[in-house]
Amino acid sequence: MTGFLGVFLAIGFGYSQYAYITRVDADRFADDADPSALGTLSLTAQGLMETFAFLMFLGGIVLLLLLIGNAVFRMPRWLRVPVCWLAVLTVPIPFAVALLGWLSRELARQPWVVQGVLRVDDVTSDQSARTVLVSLVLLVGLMVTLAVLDWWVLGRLARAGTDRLALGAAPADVLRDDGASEDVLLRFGADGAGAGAVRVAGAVAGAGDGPDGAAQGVAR
Amino acid sequence: MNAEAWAVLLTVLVAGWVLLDGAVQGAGATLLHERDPDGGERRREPAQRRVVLAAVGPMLLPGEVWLVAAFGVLVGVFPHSEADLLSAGYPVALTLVGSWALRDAGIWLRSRRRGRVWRDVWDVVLVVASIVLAGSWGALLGVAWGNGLAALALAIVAVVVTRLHGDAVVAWRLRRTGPLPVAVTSVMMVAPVVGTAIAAWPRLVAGGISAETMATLGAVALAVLPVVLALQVVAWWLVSRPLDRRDTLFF
Repeated sequence: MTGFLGVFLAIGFGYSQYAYITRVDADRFADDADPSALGTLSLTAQGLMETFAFLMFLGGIVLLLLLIGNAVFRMPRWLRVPVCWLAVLTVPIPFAVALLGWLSRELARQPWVVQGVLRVDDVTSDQSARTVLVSLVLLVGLMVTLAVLDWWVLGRLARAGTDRLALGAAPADVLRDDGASEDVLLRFGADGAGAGAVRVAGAVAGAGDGPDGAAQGVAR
Repeated sequence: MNAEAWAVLLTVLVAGWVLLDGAVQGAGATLLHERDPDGGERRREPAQRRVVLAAVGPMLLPGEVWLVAAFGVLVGVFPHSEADLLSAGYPVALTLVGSWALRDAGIWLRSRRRGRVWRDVWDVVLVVASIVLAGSWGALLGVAWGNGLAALALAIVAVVVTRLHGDAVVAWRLRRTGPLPVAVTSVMMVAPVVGTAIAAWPRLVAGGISAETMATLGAVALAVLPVVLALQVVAWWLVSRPLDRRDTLFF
């Protein structure tokens, strides 16, 4: 729902910028424009961005409608699997769309960093190319590694189902799984007071066998 | 708002980040070991680590907001200082960003899986990244003094004081102590920031953006500040409560 509203706003704000872009880049949008390599790249990124954004918009409507009466879970398997994959793709695609839009504008306004005001040459730092390359490789490597790890963890969490999600729980449950001692558990309400009914059931099942149960909790 | 008012705002924002995130850094740095009352070191069991992370968990995101806002002010109002700081302290800033990302990844990911190896590896990442983050922050402050020796000294001070601050905040949230130790370590955390602001003041307030632009941006800042402050009051209210059974343990 949030994503659907978000893509609606993003497309609206995106189109409202054309009034400005077509004015500052008038020659690029002229009919007899002879595009440079950068200009062609920029227009390609822009076209891809618009295509993906509209696909997200249309896909969002379909996914929302399929929530009515749990339709998505009643569909035959051959239809359900692609629809679920569409839902999975809605995680990375907004990032790709945002990057394409940024790339499109960045390429189109070269050599300016602020169109008509500030040139890229005037704002680059005096670091050596090697230093900048090292920092780029380190940071991109770190971020890509973390993104892959995130994706893997999300996949494992999704596959584990909604039972005992490792996404936050009452202190007594969490600490019992981590092997807390009795006095710590007592302090955080191990008697189940204030915990939800499901959590109490889980707590009772795990309680009573002391350190063994706790060890199993850790091993799980 | 004039240059002086913007510089005060920058100092306040940085001080806010140092207080909140310093607690997270300190708790992260001391995650695996705690001091015994008799002075020895004792390894923390998994459940104790979980309690420590839960105690500082609510400070993670409200704290980072202050650094983002502070960097926005630095880039937007004092671009000359930002250029000085990042060109002289490029490797330090790179270390800060890298260790920041790793520290956050450690906190977010370590409890998402139950395996002992998974958690132990992330705990080590968290400890190392927290120490490096605190140290590179202190070094960046030292760069603002324009002095390599100051960078080294402030890095060491930051590493030591964040540990004390983290310990104090965790002990206070578990109501093992009153708020007095937190007040003391808070002063120790903020002192280098204020000192750096005073040392860098002449270069900071001279040569920022034009007075008209500062005033225009000031109107925006004054409109946004009440909302930010209200959210911060909520965050502090959450943090000042003792950690108890009503909390949901996420981290």
